[in-house]
Amino acid sequence: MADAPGNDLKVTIKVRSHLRYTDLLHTVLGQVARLVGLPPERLDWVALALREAVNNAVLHGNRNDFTKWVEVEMESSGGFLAIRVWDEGQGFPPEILSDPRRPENLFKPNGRGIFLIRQFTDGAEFLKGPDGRFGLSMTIDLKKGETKEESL
Amino acid sequence: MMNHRTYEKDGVAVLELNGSITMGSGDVTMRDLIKDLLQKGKKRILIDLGGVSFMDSTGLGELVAAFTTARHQSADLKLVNLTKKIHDLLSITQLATVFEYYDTLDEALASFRK
Repeated sequence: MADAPGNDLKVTIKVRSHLRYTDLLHTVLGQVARLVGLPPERLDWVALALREAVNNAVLHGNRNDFTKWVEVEMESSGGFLAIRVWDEGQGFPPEILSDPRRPENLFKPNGRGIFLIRQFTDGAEFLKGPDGRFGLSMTIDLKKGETKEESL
Repeated sequence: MMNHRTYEKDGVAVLELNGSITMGSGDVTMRDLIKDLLQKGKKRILIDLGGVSFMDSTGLGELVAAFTTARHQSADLKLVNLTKKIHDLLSITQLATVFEYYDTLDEALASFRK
């Protein structure tokens, strides 16, 4: 059972800020997903959200600075999986994000990452850590088997 | 990791893609392949996505960029063989309203003859 206390776990991985580690984190999520009981049909979508968050942390948060770090926490408790992605950037005001589905944005090649994160998780919020780091926290309800796209 | 194959059928340049198209893996390759087809003067381009198992926002962005680049060069770029996941991604982002896409290769090739 996904919400059994024995299935609670926390995995923390800290890597240098580089896109080469996105695949590694994706692979780890696959293992974590099996251990915490993430419905298999949701794995690809949650993995997509994780990849978007990590890529944003590397490119925008840490501005491609390989000396900086990206830290990813995957924590399961009480039937939820929380994934937090931390970078050493300043963050940004969420209000600058525009809806990529608007006609004026539809033909733009970028600007869909955060939108997809919000679509494929059950909650996403920006965090400011006590150490000044910027974080993106994503919550996945492990009891939900259906993804949003299946209800389209 | 992405693999590809390009071939010509019924006057249409078909670009068959397989694997993942994500940031740093397949995204630049796809862009270069389409650029190459346009530079060779191809005006009918069909991207077969049947073998694409995973795509992120960068992959989607490259598809959009390819579409607009093709249109600026008076070329038609269409999609075929979308997996359910890719179709869902296009629907959620409303890019399904931008692209012309078909279920089968025959249907897609026929569409260029109209």
